[in-house]
Formats: sequence, structure tokens, C-alpha cells
Amino acid sequence: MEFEGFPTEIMLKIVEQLPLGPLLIFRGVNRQWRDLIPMLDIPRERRDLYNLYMECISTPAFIESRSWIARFLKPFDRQAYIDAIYSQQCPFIPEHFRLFILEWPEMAVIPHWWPGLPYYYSLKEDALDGEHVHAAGQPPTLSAASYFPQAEGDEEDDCVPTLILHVGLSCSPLIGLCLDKGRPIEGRVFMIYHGPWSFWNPNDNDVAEWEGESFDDWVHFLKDLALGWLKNNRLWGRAKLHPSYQPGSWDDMRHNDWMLYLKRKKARTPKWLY
Amino acid sequence: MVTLVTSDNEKFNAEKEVVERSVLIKNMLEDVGESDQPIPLPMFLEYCEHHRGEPLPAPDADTSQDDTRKRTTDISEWDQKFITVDQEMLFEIILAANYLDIKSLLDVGCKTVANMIKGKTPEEIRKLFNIVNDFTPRRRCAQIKKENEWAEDR
Repeated sequence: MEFEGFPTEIMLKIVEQLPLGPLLIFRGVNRQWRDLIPMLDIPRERRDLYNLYMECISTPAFIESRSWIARFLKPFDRQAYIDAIYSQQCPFIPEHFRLFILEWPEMAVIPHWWPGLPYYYSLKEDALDGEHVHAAGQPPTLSAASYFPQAEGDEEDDCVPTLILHVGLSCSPLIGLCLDKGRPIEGRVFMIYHGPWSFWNPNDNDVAEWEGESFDDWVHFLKDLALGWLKNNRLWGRAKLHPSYQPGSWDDMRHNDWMLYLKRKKARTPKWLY
Repeated sequence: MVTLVTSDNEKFNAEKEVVERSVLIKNMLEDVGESDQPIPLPMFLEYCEHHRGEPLPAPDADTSQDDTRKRTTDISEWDQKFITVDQEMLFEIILAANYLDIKSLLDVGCKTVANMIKGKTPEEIRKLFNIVNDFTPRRRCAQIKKENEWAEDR
């Protein structure tokens, strides 16, 4: 007997179980099913990534950069990367970032922001003000950034767990993902141009103005900043180490903050300065 | 005890508490009351026996919240074994679970099928589910193919 297909309700239940990659592939199966995808009951974070993919493929700079990606992309173990964050005594990873690492299609990665891309690379011309940078590298580096919750009254500043995502050679800009759960800055991405390694209350405009920018979550960051960089930097060069880079120095310094943070936390000293 | 009868007239006896995992049968039992009138059914007793005593899901429980962290591979060992059947039987089980309204079995079935979809091309998925390719004209097909290009594994 020929299988006559599932009723729509069952088909929807099946498709709702798919991770991002197969879900995107499923778009190409049938027009009727594709039109049902917006109605699926899937997690908000996966939906945001789905929409980001759609935005990517309609961005000419994204398409142009694919040959560069295909050339330099390296396989890496996604689950091991997530585990490596957890294993550094970090209890929480924002869901947007976790799903991105586990499910984002590798051929659709945005330059910089993928651990499977070379750790260091340079852009051909004077893009990024000639800064040679590394970003979202392996292994994931945790740090602790000071946090100033000024809008909440008289709380002293405190430290929050942070995943380092981007370091310029002269330490600027710094980009970090806040891993602290249950705070107003949970899951936010901070970009700091000047000053100390510190976050601020995003509702406090005065502080934000002189310290940098912040983004609601990882997907907003990719959409607003990473895709923007891509549009402005269309020339892609070879991957190479910048000759002036001394491996380890800055990373180690920031990573020491994290070790210190854990140590203090263990000693039950909740508020501290470093 | 209730008596269940399959479409080919085989009879099974089962405890009411066990078969009430199916919302359909539960409703039927309520309709016929305490009479010993037989209820028709396809194969599912084994599943309900195994899950005897587990709490039944609330009718409209919101499950979407904690779903992200559950991966499609999260199927218990016993269920995994139960659902390891040929494709035709799997699809039958899903349709029966849907008809009998057994949420947990339907979930297991759908997760299993979702796992089958992973790594397949659109053409293979169409074949699997007997879905028609309704993208026309040819230009539209090419457009879709292009959009999907970066989602496929190398």
C-alpha cells in the first residue's frame, strides 16, 4: 500500500522537532510546507536564527564572502566547544549562542564569529582600521568583567562571567557575551572601545555613550554588527598571523580574572574589586 | 477490565487504568459507562503497559518552554527499542497514536521521524513522506535551491 502522507497536524509536529539545519533544508521540500514554517511552535531562539539565515542569504556581501569561507573553514566539534565552556565552571550559556554553536549551518557562518574559522586572520586592505584581530576562538576563553548596575540604586559594582568573543591587538574593541543568569544583562553582547573591561547597565545612556555599544542578544549582535562589518569589508585576504601578535598575553590576563573570580566566589566573597 | 478488539477481530483484555493513556479510549469508556462493551483498537497495549503508572500529561500543558534543550535524540531506551520498526510500521504507529490521542507515543514517533529527516536532501524527504514538489515554475525551483545552498552540509 502506498503511503499517502501524514495529515498536516502530524507533519507540523515532526518539523517542529528539527534542528536549524534540517529545518532550513525542509524549506525546499514543498511550497505548501514552506508556508507553514512561520506557524510552527518552535523555540524563539531557533526562530531568530532561522530569520537571521534568511537575512544573510539576501545580503550580497554574505554571498560574496562564501568562497573565502569555503577556503578557510575547518571542522570543529560543536558539542565539545559548548562542553568546554561548561567545564570552566560556567553554569549558564545563553540559549541564542548555544543553539548557534550547535545548529548554525557551517557554510553559512559569518566571518569572525565562528570557532571553525582560523583563529587569526587579516583583512586585505585597511579594513577595521588596519587592526588585526581574533575572535570567537578555540578553546573558548572565559573572563570576568566588572558590572555597574547603576540604574538599580546603590549596589556596588560586581563581576560577571563573560565569554571573550573578540580582541583587537591593542585590546580594543573588546567584545564579550555576558554569561550571567538572571540579571538585566543576561545574554547581552557588549562591545567596549575604551576603558576597563566593564559592563554597564544598558538602560543608562550616559555610560553607554562613552564606553561602547551593547546588543540585546547574540542574534541581534550578528544581525546588526557582524553583517554590517561584512557589508563594509568586501575584500578578503589570506589567513595569516599578524607578525606583531604575541600569543597568550592578553588572553591570559583576562583569563586570570576568571580564575580569580572563581576563587573569590568559592571564598564566599560576593562583591569584590580587582 | 475492558475488552479491546482490533480491526481483524482479535480480542484483548486490559485494565482500564492502563488503556486510559489514550485520551480517545478514555473518552470512549466514559461514553459507554460501566458496560462491558468491547472497544476497537490497533496495536498499542504494549506501549501503555510499559508506561503504566507514569503521570498523564495535562490536556493543554505548555511544553514549548523547556523544549529547546531537549534534543531530538532524547528518547528513552525502551521507547527507542519499541519504535525501532520498519518505516511502514512506524508511520502506522504515529497515525494510530494520533488517532488514539496518546501524546507521549506521538512525541516519540515524531522525534524518530525527525531524526530520519536529518541529513536528507529535499528530494529524499519528498520521497520519504510522499510529498509533491509543488515549486513551479523551474525558475522558482532554482531560487529555492540557491537559498538552501548554505544550509547543506559540505
